[in-house]
Amino acid sequence: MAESPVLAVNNLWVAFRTRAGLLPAVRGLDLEVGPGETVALVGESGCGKSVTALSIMRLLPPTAVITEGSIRVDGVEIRDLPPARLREWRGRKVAYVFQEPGSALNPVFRVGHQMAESVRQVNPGVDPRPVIRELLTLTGLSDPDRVAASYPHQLSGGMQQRVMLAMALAGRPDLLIADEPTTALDVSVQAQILRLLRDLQARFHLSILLITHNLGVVAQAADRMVVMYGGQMVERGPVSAVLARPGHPYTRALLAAVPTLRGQRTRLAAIEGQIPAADRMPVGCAFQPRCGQPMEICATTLPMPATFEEEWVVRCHCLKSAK
Amino acid sequence: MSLLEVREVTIRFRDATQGAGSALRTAVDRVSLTLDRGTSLGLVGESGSGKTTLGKALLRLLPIDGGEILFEGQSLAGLRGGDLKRFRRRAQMIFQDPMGALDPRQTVGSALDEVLAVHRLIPRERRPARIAELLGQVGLESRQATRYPHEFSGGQRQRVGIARALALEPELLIADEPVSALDVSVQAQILNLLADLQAQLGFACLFIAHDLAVVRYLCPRVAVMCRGQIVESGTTETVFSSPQHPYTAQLLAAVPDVQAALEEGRARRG
Repeated sequence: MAESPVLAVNNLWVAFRTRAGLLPAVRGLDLEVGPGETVALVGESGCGKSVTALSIMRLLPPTAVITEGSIRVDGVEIRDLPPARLREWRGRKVAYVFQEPGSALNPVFRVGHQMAESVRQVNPGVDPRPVIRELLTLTGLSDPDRVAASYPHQLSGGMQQRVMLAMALAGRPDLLIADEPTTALDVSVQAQILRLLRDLQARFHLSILLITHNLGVVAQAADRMVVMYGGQMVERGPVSAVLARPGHPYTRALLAAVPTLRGQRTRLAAIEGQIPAADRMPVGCAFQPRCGQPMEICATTLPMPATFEEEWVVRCHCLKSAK
Repeated sequence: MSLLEVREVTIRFRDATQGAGSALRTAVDRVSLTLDRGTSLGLVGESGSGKTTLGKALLRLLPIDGGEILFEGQSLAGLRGGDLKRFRRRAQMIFQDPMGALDPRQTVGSALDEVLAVHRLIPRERRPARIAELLGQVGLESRQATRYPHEFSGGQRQRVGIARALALEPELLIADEPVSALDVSVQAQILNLLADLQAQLGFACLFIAHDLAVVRYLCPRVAVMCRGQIVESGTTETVFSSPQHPYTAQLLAAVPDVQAALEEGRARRG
């Protein structure tokens, strides 16, 4: 990355306070998103991807604490931001789009009313109506006045997600965090929203952190990907390279588990077992109990991230044994 | 004779948001399909296309407004009393959200026992052995019978849902989006399990899904639904490789497929 990154997460540790003590959900994560770049954060439920995103937004629940590490957006450490500055920082620097637009919008207020709040937050004293109209048009809603006058339930899921994007763009953020933005949508609507994200990115030079479990979405929408397992990064690299020749056994297993529309119909290679619970994290590699080719060292020693190829990092002992 | 034959079935609803006097909306519009014993048919389409409504009607969980549904040549509409109960035993359903389909205050063993008791399939003393066998069939351990649904993961709960549906040895299984709420690796486990159980037990399966690749994996035949109508049907390979209806083509093109993206170099710069 030639330019300095818009988002730089270094050695991030996030833990939840429980009766059993502090249980780590994110364990030493490094993550960078460059200007105008889309990075996909990939993993299954419980791998720590949403906790990472909420940490960046400073929206973690009260039971969660960042125990170590730094999160910088445009060079500013967000762990140090006082609450007063946080309000202005959210929306203008970083905006968040949630998985279920239906539950992120308030059902009892018209869309225009809710958008006016976001718009006033970033442009105090300005008549919000023309701004709202412009934002809704930007996100491809052809009749912005009608949409603004609607209640959320009167809009389709795709239109709701466009409204969410319009609200996110109100403060012209540098970084957009999109948490499973298309998971709740039908495939054709999903394709439209992914296209819209790409258009908006080109237009505003947005950096996007795309959180998803769908590798098809990753292939279509992201430049680089970071695969998480058990709260750690297990593989990081350019999307086209990682998906074509995954270096980590978990990435390989994930790809083999997805049914595809092309090629031979073979039995799906399911990953047996389950993700480890936070209080029973294996000592060595988190994926070792489910790995197809575990070695002795995997059960005892945590592998360190190692460079596989340029810009491509894999956390697996198999790398060393291959060299 | 086909196990299930659906002839020109129409189902209409009144739009609840528009009040009682509003016009009827057609959710399922003159749909015909057949399902042979031991085979799988995929029913695909987007939200609101009528797939779930049709699935429910096939189990007589919803009334139909036109047409006919024949199970082994007998019309469902005419089933009463004992005949209806026998049909309920022979046709079962699994749901998208297993947590919503299980009673949170009932142990898994008790949920299975209830199904066996209601249908009086086997005597009480043999039920624990049957419950253990069922749990084994779906890859759970018999000691897990004493646990409550919340103690299971999403994938395990779906296994319980499958065990409950199969407890009565049904001939027809309607699976409504059984894997769409699950993680990728767990989804593969459940799909493999369904394929294995079908090969082993020989039930016919109507597999309702919006994920075309999942349907391709499990179903040799597919029917595509759009706005209440079946717009295209045939063998899955033919329909997916050369779709005749523009809606099918559009659905297929919209699927973000890893292999397709790599082959076509659509994956972005990297």
